[in-house]
Amino acid sequence: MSTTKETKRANATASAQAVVRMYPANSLKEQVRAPHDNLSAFKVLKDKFLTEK
Amino acid sequence: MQHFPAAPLKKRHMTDFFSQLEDPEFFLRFVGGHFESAPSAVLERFPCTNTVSEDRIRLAHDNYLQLIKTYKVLLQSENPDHYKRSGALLHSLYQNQIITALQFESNGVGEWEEIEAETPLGYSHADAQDMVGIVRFYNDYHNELLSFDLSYLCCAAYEDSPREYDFNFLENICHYLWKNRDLNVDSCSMIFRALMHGS
Repeated sequence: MSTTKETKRANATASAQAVVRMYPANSLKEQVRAPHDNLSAFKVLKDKFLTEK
Repeated sequence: MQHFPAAPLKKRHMTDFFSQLEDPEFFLRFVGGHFESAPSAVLERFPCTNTVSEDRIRLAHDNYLQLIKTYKVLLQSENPDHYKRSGALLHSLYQNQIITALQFESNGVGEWEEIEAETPLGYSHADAQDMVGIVRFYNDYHNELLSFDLSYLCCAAYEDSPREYDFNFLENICHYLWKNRDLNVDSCSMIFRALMHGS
């Protein structure tokens, strides 16, 4: 038979977890390429301003 | 002189790049190298030197780690996704203003005042306007531009088909970051989530 003190502790833990976990579930997925293989802002700027006319 | 030698990617970099960013020395080299080399990559025709603060990069790293640790506490997985990590990176970089000064150099097309007045030597009016445009954009938004660029590069590395953006989007983001100095990290994360999931 559990004591009142133990019951309170268990309830407090569950309640605390509900409060602490405040974001929708997600986690980091696997990386698929190196960062610099993606679109660079430098290219966006050059395309806008320095593209040969 | 290059003060921030290229950060070596570990063999397992294809699966743990964000983990590498948690290492302060890797963060220093990766961020420092990107911010220091930007002018030569962007302003080919008008040399410029960025003054990059190592102290601010280290402070940005401290902020970045704190944000990641907070997310780890608040998430069931204790492993925040790439939107949250990219948002934390953007937040820590743009709020710490890594570049503390720009020094434009004369290169035969005129001094900065001449460029700004849209009268660089030897260029047509149209070319002069384009030259002025990119130099002015960089002068106005260098910290916001490089902070977003680096964070986007990292975020897109985890997307199967990363959504790209155009100049209009880039200009709006830079102005948004410039105007809003105290965004919270969730706002920064939402930039990447919204961009990658937009139609």
